Amino acid sequence: MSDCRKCRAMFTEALSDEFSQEQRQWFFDHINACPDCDAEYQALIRAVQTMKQRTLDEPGDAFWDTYWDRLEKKLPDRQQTGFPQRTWWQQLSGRGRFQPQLAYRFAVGVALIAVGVLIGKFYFSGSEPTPHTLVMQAKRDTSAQHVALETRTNRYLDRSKILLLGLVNFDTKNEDAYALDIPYQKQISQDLVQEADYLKDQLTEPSQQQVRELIISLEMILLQIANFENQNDLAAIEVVKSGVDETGILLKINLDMMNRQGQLPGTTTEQKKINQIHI
Amino acid sequence: VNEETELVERARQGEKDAFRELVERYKKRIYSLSRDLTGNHHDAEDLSQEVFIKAYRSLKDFRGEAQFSSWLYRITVNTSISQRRKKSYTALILHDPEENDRSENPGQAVLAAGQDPERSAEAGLMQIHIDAALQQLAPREKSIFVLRHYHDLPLKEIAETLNISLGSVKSLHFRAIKRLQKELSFYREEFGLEDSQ
Repeated sequence: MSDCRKCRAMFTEALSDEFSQEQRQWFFDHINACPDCDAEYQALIRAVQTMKQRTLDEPGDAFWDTYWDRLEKKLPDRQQTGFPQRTWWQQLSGRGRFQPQLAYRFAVGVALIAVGVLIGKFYFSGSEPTPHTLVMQAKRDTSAQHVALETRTNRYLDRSKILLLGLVNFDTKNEDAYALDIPYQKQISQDLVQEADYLKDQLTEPSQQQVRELIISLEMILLQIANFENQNDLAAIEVVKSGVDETGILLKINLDMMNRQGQLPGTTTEQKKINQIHI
Repeated sequence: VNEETELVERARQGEKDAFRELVERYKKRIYSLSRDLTGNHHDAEDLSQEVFIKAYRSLKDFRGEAQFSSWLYRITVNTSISQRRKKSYTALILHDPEENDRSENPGQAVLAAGQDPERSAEAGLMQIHIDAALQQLAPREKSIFVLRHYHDLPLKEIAETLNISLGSVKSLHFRAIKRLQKELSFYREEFGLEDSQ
């Protein structure tokens, strides 16, 4: 790094006067010897000094005297804030007196529920399940599991798609990286990577291999996002954007979701096989 | 500090008087920061009250790892940024072209406010322009500039307050000053005040 570049990299410390003795000595030696750096530094000082000439009109005493009263009206109740709550017993015996009526009502309620459970057991537990009902039950269970897995997979793909769209549409040159809230994006990516682990284990049938491969491809990109270093990691955002572009992952997600929802033209079993080859 | 720690603990237990004492201690500082971030009294009052409401709601999560003042500053900056986002979104939907024109060029806003030279002088053109320049900064840049130069927080403390790295604070601080320099150059050229610095 040339001396001028090193000097300019120290402008922030210089303007905030947050130097070590050694740094200060070096910096001002250079400024005194280099007219260009000196001119740039003086211009920055002028800008800061101008900004420091700002004065604010102080609100009057009336504003401060009534500040708490105005605020207090807006404060939430104790229950809404999560302050340590009283136990049910404390609430029951609240205001220093025991309320027997409430306790009796509670006891009667519990007794009625217990009687209901006993009656139910007596009438409905007599017959043993037949082999036929067991098979039907198993089918229902398997079908329910399939639906749950399908829903979970769709949700995973949806969330990934939204996350990637946010990054792809982010203009690193003209937008503030903080608007993107990278820590939040990282957190979502980490959640999605964990979810991918589960889905990969569950999607074992041959008909599910296509979506499984899609999840594996997505996982690589999500891992990159989960490992972003800091708020200003613009280079990493660009890498992810080009990765999304090169792999055409967003298109693949859309096609896969349409395919599984039967929205692609002619999504018969044969057509699905053809679609799988394309994707 | 010990007295404050005790106040915070009492407020965490739901004691409203303790929270009131904390509000009394910090209301001016939080209002002042809110004023710097929003640029006007009305929004500053709303923002500062929103900060104390959020603080009241989240007191149970305050573990005392940071100073109470830093925690309030962080809430102020984050709330200001999210309010600004909401406003931008609303502005996008409502699309007021005049508003957009004004925000794109603060110098023009200054001129519009000061068509009558005498009136402009009375209103303090310089103050108007400084405010306008400040409002041109990106939210994080503005927060860092304001915390450093109007509230005298060291860079390291700003990094802790905003929960970002010291390197990021330095780079955003530098960017803020460069942008202010550019905004202020319009002012100096337009009003012939180049030599007044």
